[in-house]
Amino acid sequence: MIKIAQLSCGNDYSGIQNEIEKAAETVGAKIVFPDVDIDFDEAVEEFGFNPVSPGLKLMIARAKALADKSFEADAVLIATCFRCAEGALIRNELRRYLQRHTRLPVVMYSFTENTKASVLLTRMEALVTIVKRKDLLGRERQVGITMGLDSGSATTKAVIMQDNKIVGKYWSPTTTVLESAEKVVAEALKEAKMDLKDIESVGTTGYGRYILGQHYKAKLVQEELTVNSKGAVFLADKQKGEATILDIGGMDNKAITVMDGIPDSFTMGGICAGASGRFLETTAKRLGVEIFELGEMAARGDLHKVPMNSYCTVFGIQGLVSALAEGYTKDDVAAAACRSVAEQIYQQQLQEIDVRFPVIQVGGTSLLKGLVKAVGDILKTEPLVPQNSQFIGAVGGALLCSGFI
Amino acid sequence: MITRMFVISDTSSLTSQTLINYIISLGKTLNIKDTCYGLMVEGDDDVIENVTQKIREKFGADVFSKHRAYPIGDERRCRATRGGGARPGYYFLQEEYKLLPSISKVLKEGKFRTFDKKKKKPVDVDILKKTIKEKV
Amino acid sequence: MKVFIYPPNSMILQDLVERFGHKPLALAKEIERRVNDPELDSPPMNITEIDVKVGLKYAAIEVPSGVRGRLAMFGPLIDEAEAAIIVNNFPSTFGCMACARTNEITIYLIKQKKVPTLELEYPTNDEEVEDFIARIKNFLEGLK
Repeated sequence: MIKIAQLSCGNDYSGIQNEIEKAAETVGAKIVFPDVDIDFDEAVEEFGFNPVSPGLKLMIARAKALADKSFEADAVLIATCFRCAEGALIRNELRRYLQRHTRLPVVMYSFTENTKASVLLTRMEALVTIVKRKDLLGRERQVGITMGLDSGSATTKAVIMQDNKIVGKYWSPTTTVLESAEKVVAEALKEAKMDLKDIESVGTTGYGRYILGQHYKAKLVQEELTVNSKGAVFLADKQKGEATILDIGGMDNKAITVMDGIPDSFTMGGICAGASGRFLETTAKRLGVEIFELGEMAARGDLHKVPMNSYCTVFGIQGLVSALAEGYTKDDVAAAACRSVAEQIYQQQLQEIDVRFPVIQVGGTSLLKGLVKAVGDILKTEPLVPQNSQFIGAVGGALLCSGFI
Repeated sequence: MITRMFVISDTSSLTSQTLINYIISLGKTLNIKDTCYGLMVEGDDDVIENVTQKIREKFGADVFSKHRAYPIGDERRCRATRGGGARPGYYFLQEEYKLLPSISKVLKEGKFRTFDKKKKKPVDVDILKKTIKEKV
Repeated sequence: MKVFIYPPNSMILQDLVERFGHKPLALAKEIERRVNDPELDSPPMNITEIDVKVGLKYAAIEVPSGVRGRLAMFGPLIDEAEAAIIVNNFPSTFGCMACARTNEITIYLIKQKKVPTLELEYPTNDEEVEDFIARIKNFLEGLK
């Protein structure tokens, strides 16, 4: 049984403790609370940050018990109320403290009263994976001949790697899990000039991972949070230290913060189309251009020229059309659309995590130059877009499963 | 059904066994649990309130009491089932426990004096000036 | 009289209010009502999503859920209060009192009620303990 130490404030009173425990139980873990002595002023003093809320002081004392190894646990969940400034500061500093003083995997979450076990599940599953497969996740080089399959809800991707290099790759829209996979596997093998029997190990990820895992007798079947992180830092050559991985999808977005390639916090969107690639797809249709062309146009345009008074896919795009009528160029309108999506992602999602640098932008939308520029403009950084950035899941799978050869 | 905690002041010679014997002698249907600080007693609302009053009459300022939200041995708050770590309220109780001997002493002596407290004020600027001249 | 005590889970305050003949509005009884409700199962406190929304009566939606959840419990006690004793600088006020923001708004709300209120500092030596008890006794005896 994997023990997850809970350091939290506000959970009981937000009515979500049961959800936390349910999520842990589902992935075969148990929530535990580090035992500490009442006189923990010393712990707070040593930590150096003295919050007013006693609940946060208790979190600090519990973190110290983990750092001193006076309490044993396998992983840590740090959680505080969403929108609590004091809590957010402590949450983040405790994460850093634990990463400095222990080798325990840490995951953070800021909850509301609506938080359900299902949203916590991916995080808990990732924690358990990190504990159980610590050695495997430490792998930084791919060896032998391996294949990674990423069966996503929108697209299926296959990557074949040999001696730390990509030798074959292919992607296709997902129709049915198996058919789409067979197609991309065949094409990737063709590019690599290989047969399926040459592949020494297969790793699958994404929502269709179990079906494909069985079909291809995969040695690794793993959730996308850890696999994608690994693939992203591998491709960006940032395997050591901190980074943020941003994947703006057609339907949902992921923002993952990592330390040495291992995720510790994660946010996933999916409520507002205005904060997704879908907004850009709709804009492209209205402008009568292909989505990738929209990205090029936006890169040429001025991000701040066209005023927008709505971020909504319905009303915002109407505004963009009006801007065209007012005489703004198509390039500037495309740039405004990218800025709009980037701002929404920033406001709706990135505030839940602490953005760490470098920012590695991945997924299909990372190929839209204007969007990468808009994200960089908001975050005041130049996001890294590694080569083959749309294949991170498959690359992560191919890299990790080479540990089983 | 309610639960009450009875906490014996650290300086009292009273034992929890004496307290238990007294409660039993009242002949009520109650659930009693011995703890490190005293007792937890569970029963019907009016019975518990009545027992509390009797205990106060009998043992005065040696025993202090409050309501406890959770029933005795409730798994939601029990350290054994919760995976280590005291329930948050326990730390608070520990803190208040430290103050009981002096409260008990005042209540027993029955002298209730108030003292005027001087508020701390910033030092007068002239004094500061003078000190700087003298010492620096 | 019904006396709101702050911190509402203090044993010393509940005990003294009872000893000097009044009814403390103790938090434990409010939680007790919840945790013994067989209809609900949101352990440990049985605070539900609906409760946290009830907290909106006292604090706006942009206030963290933990504050609103606590206010859903303290609020009804404040509403009932006919008098109040507030003790500042209580050490180690965990659990129900673990959130500084909730504590600030709770004290503010009780002051807004304009009921007779006694405000004290947590005693740190024998003289202060004597003063503390004497002031509570005088205050409670003066409530009629």
